[in-house]
Amino acid sequence: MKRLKNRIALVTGAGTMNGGLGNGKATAIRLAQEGATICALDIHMEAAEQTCQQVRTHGGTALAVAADVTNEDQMASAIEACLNAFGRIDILQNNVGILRAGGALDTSVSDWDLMTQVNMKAVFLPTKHVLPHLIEQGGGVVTNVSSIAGLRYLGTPYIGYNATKGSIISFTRNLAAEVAPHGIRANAILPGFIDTPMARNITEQNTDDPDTIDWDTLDQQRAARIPLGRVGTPWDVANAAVFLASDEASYITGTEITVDGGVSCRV
Amino acid sequence: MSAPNFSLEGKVILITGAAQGLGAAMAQACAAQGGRIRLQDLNADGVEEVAEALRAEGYDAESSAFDLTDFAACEAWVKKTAENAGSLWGLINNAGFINHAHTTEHSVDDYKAMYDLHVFAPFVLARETARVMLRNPGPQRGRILSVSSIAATNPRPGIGNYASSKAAIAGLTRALAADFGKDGICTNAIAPGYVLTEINRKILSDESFVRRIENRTPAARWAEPEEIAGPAAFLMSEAASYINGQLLAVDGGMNAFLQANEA
Repeated sequence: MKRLKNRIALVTGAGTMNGGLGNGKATAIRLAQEGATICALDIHMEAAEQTCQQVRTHGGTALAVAADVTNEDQMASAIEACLNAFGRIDILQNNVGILRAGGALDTSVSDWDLMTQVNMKAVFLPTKHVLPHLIEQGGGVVTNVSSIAGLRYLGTPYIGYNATKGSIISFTRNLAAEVAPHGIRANAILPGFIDTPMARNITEQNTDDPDTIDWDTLDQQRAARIPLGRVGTPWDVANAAVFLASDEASYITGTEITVDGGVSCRV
Repeated sequence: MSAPNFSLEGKVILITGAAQGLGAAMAQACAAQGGRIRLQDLNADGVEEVAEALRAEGYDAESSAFDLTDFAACEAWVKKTAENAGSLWGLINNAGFINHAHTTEHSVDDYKAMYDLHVFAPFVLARETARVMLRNPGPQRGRILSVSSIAATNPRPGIGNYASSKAAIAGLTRALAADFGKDGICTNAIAPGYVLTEINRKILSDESFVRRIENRTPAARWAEPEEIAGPAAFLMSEAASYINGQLLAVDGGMNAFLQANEA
């Protein structure tokens, strides 16, 4: 049984550069495996195309669209392209996010503006432009990727990232209340420590000599703090996205699902 | 990479309080994914009826009738079921009851009765099932799921013993997640909002209360039992293998919403 047969899913941040696997790409593939047709949106066309090729390898249908989720005109055109190709949108997966390290003292105003601009608009703009279609269709699902960083300080000063990820939780709750009368559900996924190219990139950027990073030791140290004893994979996040998009989650809205191996439930 | 594994094929799952309501719906949902369901209830005829209906659909289901507040009986049930079935994958602590009274009318015994069923029985069952699950080859060894409630975080007046026991099961869930996570056993809880079930018969007969809940729920309706059962089946599956220690709200958005404009 395919849970998402005949559904059209728009996934933002669906590409991963350099052939790696990020949450967006994994989610696009998983949604497709459950029968959904994918509109893979990324700021880099080539990355979106790579994801579409993988979706097709798994027997799915996919369209690549290049757009900057913080640019209203580009978002409107991207959604138009998706509608032209597939006629409707049922699932919106807002996956775009950006991190610049720093605490309140050393985060530059430009980094702060970048994070609020990207992380908050990445949920607001696609949602704003997809909603009229979901309402017209009489229902749909919006899933926003927040983070457990939106709940707590995680040991590294990422104040801009954590504050904006926290805002996604509050955005999602308000959105859920607003659109519930139209049969639209909205929820947030809060990934924990997931092994993605973006996560590795962040670690590299915050190390003086990236070549000296001992990834195995780092992964082991991190895993030791996680009740399940391992760092997560993008597939773990993707599975939660599939569940939230499915009819089995028909009474789940305005809430958060943590995918973190239990790390946020302990001290 | 294979497709998301929501299947429960061949997995033996214990469900308490399964003669009606959420328990029966969860049994149906887990059976539909291929699970081998072992149902418990105090009501022998009722729980056997549910098991019989599942068998009639071609599913593997057996019933047992005993009192969960008899903790020795809980232990014996887990041991015997594991022995007969050959293995054990999941436990769903669902059995519950509610008695409405203002705190000034509650006795310690009212609290003890509630905690016996909502906290101590789930603790004993979790401990015993985990002992059996640890014998599974791994790396994934099992799932423990408990039914908490929106009342754990957002109670209404007159349910102090119920609400606090549901908060206790949420706390126990996190503690078990920390204890058993490394063994590949994921422990989670569901916090349902207001559901059309037998346990809510009394409040469902109050038309104005029914409307009030609808008005305070973004989804503007009560949940069907099946809508709680779907998430339960998901959390039992290998697709949920990185979800641990979670209190998942299944409440139509109620916890995200404070109706400040209501008279």
